[in-house]
Amino acid sequence: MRWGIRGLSLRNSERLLGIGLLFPTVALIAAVVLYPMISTMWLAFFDESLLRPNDPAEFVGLGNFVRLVTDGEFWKVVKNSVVLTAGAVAGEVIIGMIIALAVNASYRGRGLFRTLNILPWVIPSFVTAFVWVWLLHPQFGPINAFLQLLHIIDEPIAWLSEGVTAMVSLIAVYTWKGLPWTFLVLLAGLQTIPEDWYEAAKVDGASAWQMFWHITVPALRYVLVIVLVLRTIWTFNSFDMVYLLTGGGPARATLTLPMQVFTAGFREYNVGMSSAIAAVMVVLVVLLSLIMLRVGWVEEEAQG
Amino acid sequence: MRGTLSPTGTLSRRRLFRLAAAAGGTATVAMILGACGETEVVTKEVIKEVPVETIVTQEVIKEVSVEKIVTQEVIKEVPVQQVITQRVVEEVMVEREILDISFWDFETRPLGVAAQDAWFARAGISSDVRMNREVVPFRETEPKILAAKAAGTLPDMVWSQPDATWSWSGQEIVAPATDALDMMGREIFGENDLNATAVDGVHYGVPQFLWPHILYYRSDLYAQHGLPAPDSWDNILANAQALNDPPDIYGYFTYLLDAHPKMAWSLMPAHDAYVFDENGNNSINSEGTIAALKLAKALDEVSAPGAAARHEGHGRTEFIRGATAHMVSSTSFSGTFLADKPEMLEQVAAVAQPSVAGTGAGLAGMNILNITTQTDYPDRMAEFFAALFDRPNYQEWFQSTVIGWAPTHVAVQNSDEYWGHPRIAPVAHIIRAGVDASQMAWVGGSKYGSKGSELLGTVTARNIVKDMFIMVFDGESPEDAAAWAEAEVQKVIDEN
Repeated sequence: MRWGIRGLSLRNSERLLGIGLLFPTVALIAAVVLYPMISTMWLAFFDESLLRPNDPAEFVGLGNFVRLVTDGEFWKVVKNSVVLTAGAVAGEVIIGMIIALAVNASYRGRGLFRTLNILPWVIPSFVTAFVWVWLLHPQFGPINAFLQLLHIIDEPIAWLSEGVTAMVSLIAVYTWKGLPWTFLVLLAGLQTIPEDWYEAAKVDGASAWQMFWHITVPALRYVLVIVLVLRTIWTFNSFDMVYLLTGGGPARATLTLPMQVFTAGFREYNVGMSSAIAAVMVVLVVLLSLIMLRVGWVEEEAQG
Repeated sequence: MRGTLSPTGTLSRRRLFRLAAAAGGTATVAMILGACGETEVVTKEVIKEVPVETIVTQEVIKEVSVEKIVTQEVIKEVPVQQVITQRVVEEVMVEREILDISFWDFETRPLGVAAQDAWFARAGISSDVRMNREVVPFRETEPKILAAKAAGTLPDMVWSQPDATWSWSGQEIVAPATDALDMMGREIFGENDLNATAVDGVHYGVPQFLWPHILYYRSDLYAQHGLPAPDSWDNILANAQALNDPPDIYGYFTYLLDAHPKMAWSLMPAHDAYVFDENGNNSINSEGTIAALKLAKALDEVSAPGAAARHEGHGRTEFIRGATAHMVSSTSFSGTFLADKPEMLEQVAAVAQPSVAGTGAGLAGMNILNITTQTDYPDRMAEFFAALFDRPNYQEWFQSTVIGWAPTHVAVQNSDEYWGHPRIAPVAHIIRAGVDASQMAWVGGSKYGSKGSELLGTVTARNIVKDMFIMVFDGESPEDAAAWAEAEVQKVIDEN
């Protein structure tokens, strides 16, 4: 039985059916993703504040962006975001790779080890934040106690109260939180590498490092690029842990772009400026992603 | 016939004599009588006039009596008028329907909600008002109020803090509370509290309750060390240094992580330092601010490690566990003692924060009740407000609500019954310190005028004051930190 719409050829009717079936999904995405995104971009060109509901939004062109890029404080925030993202993603990938390599080997208790590694990922962010606030507590935190026990430090460190240590603490917490996902993806990638590649390399007398550098890394290239791109996007856009752990302090030392979007939008109610910062974030994230994809692509072309 | 007059008129001599004699006598008598008669007649007339005058006088007397009667009639009319008045009152009582009015409130604590509902209900009985409370979270209040103003859907009543009252009065969100205050009497509030609601001399709200920030200190440690009671910031710093014995006990606790850096807000007014002047001009970079920063730095040096990056709640925890000798916190801390460690109340004393410049001291949070400009019932709202702040009703609410607020009603502040109430007595020494503090404390936006109050929210959102203090704690000079803050505040002014 032919299934079609009267008056139309089968091919056209199939097309129409396809479009019809696709329409609800496209409409939903347009309503909940495209419209807010375009609306945000549009608002970035206006001076609009919720605290002035009677005043019509004033079109200011690039005014909000000019104000941002000419404000030295804004570039400190960009730097904070980049440092946090780079530090956390690097930590996740390096440690994730080490754990994945360790877990990929065959030994007793491998299942338990894998399960424990996933735990940080399943703990809600706010629980993670409170746990770490107490772990890092300058008076009662076990981290200080441990370091003092080992005589690494003489005085307790107020980890979240000083600029550098607060950023280091944030990077550590983000790494801890994002590690399970990175580890799982890398482990999945490792398991796709044929074992006989390593056996052949061993026969040729390759060292462990040579096998890792010349077999594992190239074989995981696509996976690594995906991990780097996604973790960069997620960390760069992350708000919750910064808000819960430091609130952007001390003295803006950990203030990141998402925190600034929140502050401008939901504390100052300056919708125009908040949208402008969000627009800058989108541009930066797209740029970073393109650079990473491009590097991976060039690497692939060079090798292929 | 002799002696008789003849029919012809002839008379005998004798008869003529007799006639003549009779005539003469008569004439003489007549003459005498005539002469005497003229005098007697005049005299009689005078005599007669006198009675006539008397009669007139009597008439006057009668008129007086008539007036009395009229007066009596008036007196009779008064009862008639009273009867009419009574009838009118009865008619009004019958005709007034119960008004449903709306109120956007932040309170969610069960005890606070229950006490407030009862307070509103008691006031509603006398003003025929039924309050419908809608909870609007604290942080959402400002944008919702502004949006509702634009949409014409403001509730009848809102709560605010002084800076919001100042800001909202300029945006015609809250209406003058003149009628309500006239009904209840302005003298029932302290001058400093009432002034916080006044913009250009017009009051835009009624002070509901206070939570002044006061200095808590360990009176038992003071006694052990023989330290003088804290009465100046120099004295407090010296005592904090004397009691500082880490890691067991720290002299002070400089918390700054809260959205509102209360420690900073407290030290600045003591030095007559404010973010804006009364015209909304940038005034943060001042001698007072620099002095406040220096004092804060000294206090931070005897605080627990990382204290500045922690919340007020953390400071309270440290104080309650006995690891802090001094801290500034609001009177609501008294409720924490009651709930968590009531036995410690005997070891804790509290005083109003001292002033350095002599013009202000500490911070006092205050809640204000406002009538909005979009209510349809301004008169009834005024009546309702008057009933809310009727002393017995207000006092009953205050004795039954959450512990830790200080009353704004002067009669309650001076009431032995209030201080002796079983729920209040255990923390009376703390709340009393709060009442003392409210006399001189900085009560929100009352220093900044409408413009400065409007901008204060952005200054707070950007953590400018908080970061200025933290920069000094991290080693920046107070002068540089104040200059940085000045530039940041100026950005806020320029952007708005």
